[in-house]
Amino acid sequence: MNQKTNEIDEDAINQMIEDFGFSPESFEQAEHDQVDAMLTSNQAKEEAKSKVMYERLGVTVRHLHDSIREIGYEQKVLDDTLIEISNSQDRLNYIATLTEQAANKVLNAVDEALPIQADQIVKTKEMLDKWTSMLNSVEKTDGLAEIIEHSINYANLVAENSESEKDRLMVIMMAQDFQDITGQIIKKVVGLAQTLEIELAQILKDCAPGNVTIEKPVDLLSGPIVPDMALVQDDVDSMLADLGF
Amino acid sequence: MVDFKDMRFLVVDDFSTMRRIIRNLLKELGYNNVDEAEDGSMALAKLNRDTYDFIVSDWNMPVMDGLELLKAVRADAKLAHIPMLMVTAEAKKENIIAAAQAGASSYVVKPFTAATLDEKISKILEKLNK
Repeated sequence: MNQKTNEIDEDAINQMIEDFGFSPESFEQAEHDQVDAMLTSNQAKEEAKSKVMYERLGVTVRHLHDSIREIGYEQKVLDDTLIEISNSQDRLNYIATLTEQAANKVLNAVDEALPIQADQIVKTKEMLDKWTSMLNSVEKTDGLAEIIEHSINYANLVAENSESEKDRLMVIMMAQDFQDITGQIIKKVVGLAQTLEIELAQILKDCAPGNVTIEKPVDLLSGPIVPDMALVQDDVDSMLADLGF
Repeated sequence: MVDFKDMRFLVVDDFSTMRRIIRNLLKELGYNNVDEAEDGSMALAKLNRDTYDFIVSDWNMPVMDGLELLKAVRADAKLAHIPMLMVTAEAKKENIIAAAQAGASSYVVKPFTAATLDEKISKILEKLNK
């Protein structure tokens, strides 16, 4: 942050203090007065303390808002950021959908291919047994014996290859577990972006000129851990519409 | 004791991909009797309705997670004897300790191999048979 911005910040703080109608000294005095006046019971004391705390929080938040404005983050920028976050959520969800579809396609193919290989192994071994017992009953000098031996070798190769193919299919299947891990991570990031989006929308609402009323803003923050995407987006959209964006 | 290969498995995971993978692995290991549930509460409903011999469960799931399911199973006299293997991406020390304390039969960390799953299930069944 450069010197100029610091100066602006200083001005902003002063302006903010003026807006609120008290200085740090008067603030402290007010705190003492309030606490003294309410010393009659412990509960009243606690209430006084929390009231002071919320007032201070209010000052801090106002300071933050003003500073953000002063250094050039206009509402337009916040609005663009909101849209970007919303787009990122859509993109992440799209990735989650695509990877799940891909994983399912692979698993479908593996589900089809595995039993075929297993069946091939069983049938090849049946054939091997028949050829082997037949080989014992033909003359070694016979040309037929040579063909049978050839067939036995080939059947052994088929069984071996099917066995290897089954192993490879299992590897392909196991590799699809990436979708479970990436899916969980994407879910987490989308949740995080959603929280950020709601917080930003709240700042936009707070900074908007005049009295802007929106539907159930508090419910938005206390929703389920994994909120339904569409519903929350709808709330944000209606909020943005109310604000004229 | 029932024949191991006739054992009825319940695979609990919120990701269908993982349920399919575990089901196929179990099939490959010779266990053909496999049922699935999407979360802990659906699993519990199935466990109360039908008879199962083995539970393979994820941890991080919506509605009711794997640890809650484990605790519910261990707290229920009718279900408490069923071996339960946790297969999960939650791999912190604290996770494994918590699962062990809650009565998990064993713990497999995702991503896992077919050999690991085989080894853990075999070990659990060996202990059961003693």
